[in-house]
Amino acid sequence: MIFFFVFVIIITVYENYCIVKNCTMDKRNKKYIFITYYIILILTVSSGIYYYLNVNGSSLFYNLFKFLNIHY
Amino acid sequence: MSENNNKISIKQSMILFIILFCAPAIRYIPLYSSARAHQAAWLSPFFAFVLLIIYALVWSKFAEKFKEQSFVDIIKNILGNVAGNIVILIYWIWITIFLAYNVRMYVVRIVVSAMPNVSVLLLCGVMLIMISFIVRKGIVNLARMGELFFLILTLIFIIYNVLIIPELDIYNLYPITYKDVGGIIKGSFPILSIFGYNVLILFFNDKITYTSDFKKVATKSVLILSIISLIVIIVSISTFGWKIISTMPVPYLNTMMQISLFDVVERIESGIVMFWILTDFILIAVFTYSSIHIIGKSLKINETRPLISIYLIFIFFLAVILANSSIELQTFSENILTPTNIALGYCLPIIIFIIGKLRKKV
Repeated sequence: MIFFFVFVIIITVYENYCIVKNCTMDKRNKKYIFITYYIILILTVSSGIYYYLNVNGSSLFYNLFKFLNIHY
Repeated sequence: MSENNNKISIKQSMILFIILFCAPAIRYIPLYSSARAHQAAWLSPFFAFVLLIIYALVWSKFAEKFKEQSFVDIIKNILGNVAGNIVILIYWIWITIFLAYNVRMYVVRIVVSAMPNVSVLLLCGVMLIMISFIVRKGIVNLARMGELFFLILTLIFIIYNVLIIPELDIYNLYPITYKDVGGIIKGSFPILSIFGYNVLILFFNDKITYTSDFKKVATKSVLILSIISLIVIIVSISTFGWKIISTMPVPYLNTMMQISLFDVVERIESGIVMFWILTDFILIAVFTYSSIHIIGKSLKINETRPLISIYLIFIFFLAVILANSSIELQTFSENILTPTNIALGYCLPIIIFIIGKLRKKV
């Protein structure tokens, strides 16, 4: 699990460097791409933490079916 | 193939669409249709064909009116900015969940059929690393790969379906009465549901060059998809009968396990496993490309490549936490995914088309 988080950090640093150094993108593009990048990063880290805390626990679908009262 | 500004031709887009259809079709259609329509399930593609032709006409109208414009622009043009952005966000969430579902389904399928005891994380990771390389190269490379795979997939599909002919028992497809009409209609839902993937192609409509008649190519594609559905259902049900098929997790694969060449060569279903891997690869790549393209078009970002890696890492974690077993995936597919696919992939584009007509924009 730690390996994946290290991987995420390396990818983030690399991609951020690429965005900053990209000459073809204007200021507005860079701003929007950074915002989108960090929104997806937050989603990634949240789902990673959920996985880490629930390795053998209930899945998202299990909770969803429980909420919707779907039997299987 | 069109080399114009990194765009693909209509034919290439339809090839991608047919490949997208194949992966879930052979897994899901025989199972769902036989449970609803029993022995009459093989008539469901005929009913679906009529509905799909109607939709293909709507699709062609969109394509002709909004030539080389993304579905994102079409939605914003017809519904306005606020409603349009809400609809696009719904589509993006749907594609993301569906992408994660498909990644997980691919892994489950591989574990069940070819590689038991292999880590889910490993299979997910390898697939997504490959996808990240391909999606970075753009839609042209993906379309070329689709063309190449299409030949291989067609060969595999034809050869396996010819080899299974001696095992078919045509009496499993009868009797059919007027009481089966309701079942046949319900049995067509999975076909309509999977046809909903056409929206993904519409989302990168701006990457398609219109050099040939869209309506003609779309109608041909619908016909091919209906034939694929028909063959998959007939082969599965006539080999085992609907009662057994409706309880199998992977009915088409189990059917192909029955192939026996002169009672000497048996268990040659590995070709079908390869078929699945290739179609799943294209499916996941197209979903990823569409999703990233939606972000780019809706936020008007001209360079979206930096988002691919982080998006795929998010999909990796989402795929891992979605489900613990194939039963959960199957339940999700039957109870939630099928109606959502029909609503977003089939009904919503028609509603947008009607609104466009009322507002005189189509």
